[in-house]
Amino acid sequence: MNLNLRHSMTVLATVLAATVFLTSACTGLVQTEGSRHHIYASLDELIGDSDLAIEGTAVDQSTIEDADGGTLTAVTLATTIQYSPRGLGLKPVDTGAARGAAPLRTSKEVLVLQVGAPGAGPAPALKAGTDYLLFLTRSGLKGKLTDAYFVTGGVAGIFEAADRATTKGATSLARTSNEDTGLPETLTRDQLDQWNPTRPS
Amino acid sequence: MLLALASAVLAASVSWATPTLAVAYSHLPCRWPSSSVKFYANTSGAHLTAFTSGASAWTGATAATLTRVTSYSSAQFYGVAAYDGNTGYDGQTTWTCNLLLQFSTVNVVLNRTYMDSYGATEKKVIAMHELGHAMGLDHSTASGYPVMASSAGNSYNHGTTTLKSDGITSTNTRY
Ligand SMILES: [Zn+2]
Repeated sequence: MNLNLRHSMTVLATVLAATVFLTSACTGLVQTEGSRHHIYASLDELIGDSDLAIEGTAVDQSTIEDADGGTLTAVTLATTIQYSPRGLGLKPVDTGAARGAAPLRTSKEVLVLQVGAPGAGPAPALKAGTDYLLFLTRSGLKGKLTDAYFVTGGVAGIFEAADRATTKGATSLARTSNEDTGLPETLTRDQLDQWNPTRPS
Repeated sequence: MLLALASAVLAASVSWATPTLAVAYSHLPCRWPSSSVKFYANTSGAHLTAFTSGASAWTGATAATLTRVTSYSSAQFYGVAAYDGNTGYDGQTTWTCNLLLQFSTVNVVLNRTYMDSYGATEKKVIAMHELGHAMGLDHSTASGYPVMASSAGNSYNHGTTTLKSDGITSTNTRY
């Protein structure tokens, strides 16, 4: 066997051994897929399924484990503008306390949950430092996550500010979902100001 | 350096994209090493039925064989039904895979927060969707409301109860 061939085989064996080592570990790629509960055909429908709509800045992101060992991403939204179901023209959907009947917690900081690890869920991750309008649904979870919210429709309720928001809010917010084509592609400040916004202090 | 190069080549081959513009289905970057895959369902009653009937649908229509086993240790992936809350998703599948692009772990969760109110056929369709992910399929943009559309529940509401050609072709080109 000549020296070059032996050298090539040694290199090949090293690469193979390293590859086997690397592939034996559970590192590499991770992702959560999901099947949407509902695809929204209109803004009214999205509002009807939401308990709260807020504008604000995503300021913080952490990972938490749900009851069955799955991963959730928890994002704190520093709220600058809050729309109540009444402000959205929303009629309570349920007669019970599940939705609409109980008074909304008005807080400057709202904890928003997303399915999956940060950046590895079925919906685009809320990015720290970015301004959003979010349509939210109470988590339906027990314990410390009772007061948290999921984004209505996973991705449907995420509208991202086209520009840096001022104290009056962003001038325009764009739909994130490419699945819910019945939702408006953008919502303007003029439109949103029709919804009786309040500014939590 | 060679290692870095090998990793870069492997990483570069990862693609979430639809194979070609003419094909509506798409694959996850990862798959199982063989077409015969075993899973354990840690649930009972109607949700267990959803898993078993969903698996039978894939086995009956495609080149893949998806078998529920009753021994945890002999399974390659796991299914469960749990109250995950108002996530916006009927079910979810979390996977990890190695640099050979073979699944390392796959966990399927049927979200009882929504699914408890579904009939047996809708439960089966949701389970079929998640099991499709568990076999390495991504969402399909095919017309006709396929099981692997972004919302299997929406497809069910439009009359879908069985696999269509996109899901079958997608699986058969994978295995
Ligand atoms: Zn899916």
